[in-house]
Amino acid sequence: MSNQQTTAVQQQSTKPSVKALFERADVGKRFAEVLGKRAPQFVTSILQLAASDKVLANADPYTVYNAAMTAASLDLPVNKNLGFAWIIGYKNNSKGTTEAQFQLGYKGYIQLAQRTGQYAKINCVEVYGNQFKGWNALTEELDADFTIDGTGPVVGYCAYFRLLNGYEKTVYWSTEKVRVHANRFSKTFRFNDSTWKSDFDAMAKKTVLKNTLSTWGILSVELQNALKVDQAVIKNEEEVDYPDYQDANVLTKEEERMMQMIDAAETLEELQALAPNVMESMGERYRNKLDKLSAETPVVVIEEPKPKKASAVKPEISFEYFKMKVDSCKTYQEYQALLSEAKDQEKQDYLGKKMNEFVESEMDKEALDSNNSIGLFANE
Amino acid sequence: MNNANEFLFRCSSLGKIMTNPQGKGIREKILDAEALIDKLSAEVAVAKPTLKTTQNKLAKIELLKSDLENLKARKDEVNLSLTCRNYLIDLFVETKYGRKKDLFSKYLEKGLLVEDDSLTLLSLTEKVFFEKNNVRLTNDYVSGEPDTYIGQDIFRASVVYDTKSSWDLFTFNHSKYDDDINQDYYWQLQGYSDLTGAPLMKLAYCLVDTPESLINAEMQKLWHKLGQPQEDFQPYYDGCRAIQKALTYDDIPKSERIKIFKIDRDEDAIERMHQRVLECRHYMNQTFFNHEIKRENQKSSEGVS
Repeated sequence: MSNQQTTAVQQQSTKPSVKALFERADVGKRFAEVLGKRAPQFVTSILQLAASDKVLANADPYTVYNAAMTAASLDLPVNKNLGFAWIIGYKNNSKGTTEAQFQLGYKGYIQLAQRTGQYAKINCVEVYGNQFKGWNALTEELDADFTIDGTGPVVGYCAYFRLLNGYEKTVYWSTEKVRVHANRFSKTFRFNDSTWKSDFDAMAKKTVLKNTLSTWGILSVELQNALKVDQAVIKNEEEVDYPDYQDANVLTKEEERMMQMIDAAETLEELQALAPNVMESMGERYRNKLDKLSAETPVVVIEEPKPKKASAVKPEISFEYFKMKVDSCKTYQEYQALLSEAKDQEKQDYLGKKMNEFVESEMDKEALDSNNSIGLFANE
Repeated sequence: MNNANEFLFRCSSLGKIMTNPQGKGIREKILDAEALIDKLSAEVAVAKPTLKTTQNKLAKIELLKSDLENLKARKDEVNLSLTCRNYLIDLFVETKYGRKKDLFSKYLEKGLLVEDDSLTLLSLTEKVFFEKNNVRLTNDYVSGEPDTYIGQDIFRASVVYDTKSSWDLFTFNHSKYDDDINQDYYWQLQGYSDLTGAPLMKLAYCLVDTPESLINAEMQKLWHKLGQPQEDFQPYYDGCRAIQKALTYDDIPKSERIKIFKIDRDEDAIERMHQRVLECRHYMNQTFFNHEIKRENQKSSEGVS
């Protein structure tokens, strides 16, 4: 991959719009060098994408350029409908900037693997409840009937490849495993507007295939580069950021709400009313605003409220409400989260009872599942 | 489910069951008939019995008395509106067969996706940091999940809020400038008041940006409509820009994108709501479960013999 990017395009002190940057002669020339006659159509598709996506249109144009150049050098069309690769605008709250992120779809990975000329077969599919019979993690044998149409819920995702030399690999991840993985590694997983919410299957297939290829596949230089730049904001050839990863400073909806409220506060009174709910992550922003408003209101003596974690400042709630919260829990983690709110004996007893019941019912379910799977294998 | 005796109605559906039937109810008809009989009887008492008009009045009184008997025999019959009865049929089908009538719509989807954004707009307007309530509340009649509230906990809330995220600028402004509050939302909020005891409810219509996934879906529809053209096809390009503009609102001040209606708790309304829930359960038992109840009774009587 020729990762020319910003080193080859002169950055200006004032940032142009995405459209203005892509209309520059030197930019057009760079794309023409990589794509030849297909360059104008490719550039048009990027401009079309930016025109239809407000976040992307406002993104740092050089990150859009770098992402587009990466797609061009991988020779993959940038089109969500095709699903090979796309460019997504991404608000980086820690820096207060918007950047473009390059993303590969699972079809993009398949395409790049095929180009190595080493793969006889490669695929990644959903496994439905009516198809799945069992998975042996030791021998890596998936017992599933793919001759029937999948119906009902998707229980897992299977990636498979066979090399020309005969080496083959099958990897199966249950839907739950994908979910746990995404929850652990993708900060945007829980957001309503994340791709995980709008297209879980495509994201899951990509995750399983990417993991399979990077661990066991033959990787061409092109494929290695693709793995490196996938889901990244590309600054230049050496510098690549992964804003979706867990350690990135992506805000939850509550944090975002608090941030907007701190910014919008016009008086000390308004700001201080927020103090009991200010999260740790918003502490610095709160203090800065407090300093600013204090300087504008010199007469008032201000006692700086200590920002606390949202969970630590919950007022004591009635037993009736607590009971309903407990009854709404669906996972063990949700029960655990209520421990801090169980401040009296009555609440503790109720929560303890419900947690025990939950654990017992989960154990029953597990026992039932294992009996079922024994039954399935026994039938064969 | 063998009967509807403990069936809880969702607050969001109260508007449907609270619609009144067209025309007079049986109790009103009984009162009318009794009043008319009294009136005619009084007229007959002072009139010459041989007159034809007196004879006619006497015949009419007899007729009315017969009607009255029939009406009195039916006085406990539940008189529900057509809207309500249709809704109860749908509800029964959904419950019995586990199928939903309205599965997806872009309006519902937007409402779910932008719930947090609407809450942020509400927070900025009310200058109160709101957190989403995720607890479903129930009492003997209804169940519901108010969006948020002000108070130590939801049972000690001074104000309960519900947000409605409009699909676009046009639907938002229709809600904004409509003087009468939507009856479905009125009853939904009375339901929340019943569940929480809150004396005041606020309904907030919010206009926030449509999520990218829904904008893309609209663009894809356009793409198919135009015969799947190349992306640089000018009408498609212009159409996409128009869709983007129609569904995002950064250029409109936040204060113009929210409208809050206040609704006071109404004890009479809540009482009527309880009564109607009981009537609906009775109707459901009579209409849908009667057959099953009869069969059960038959089984038990066979068991006895």
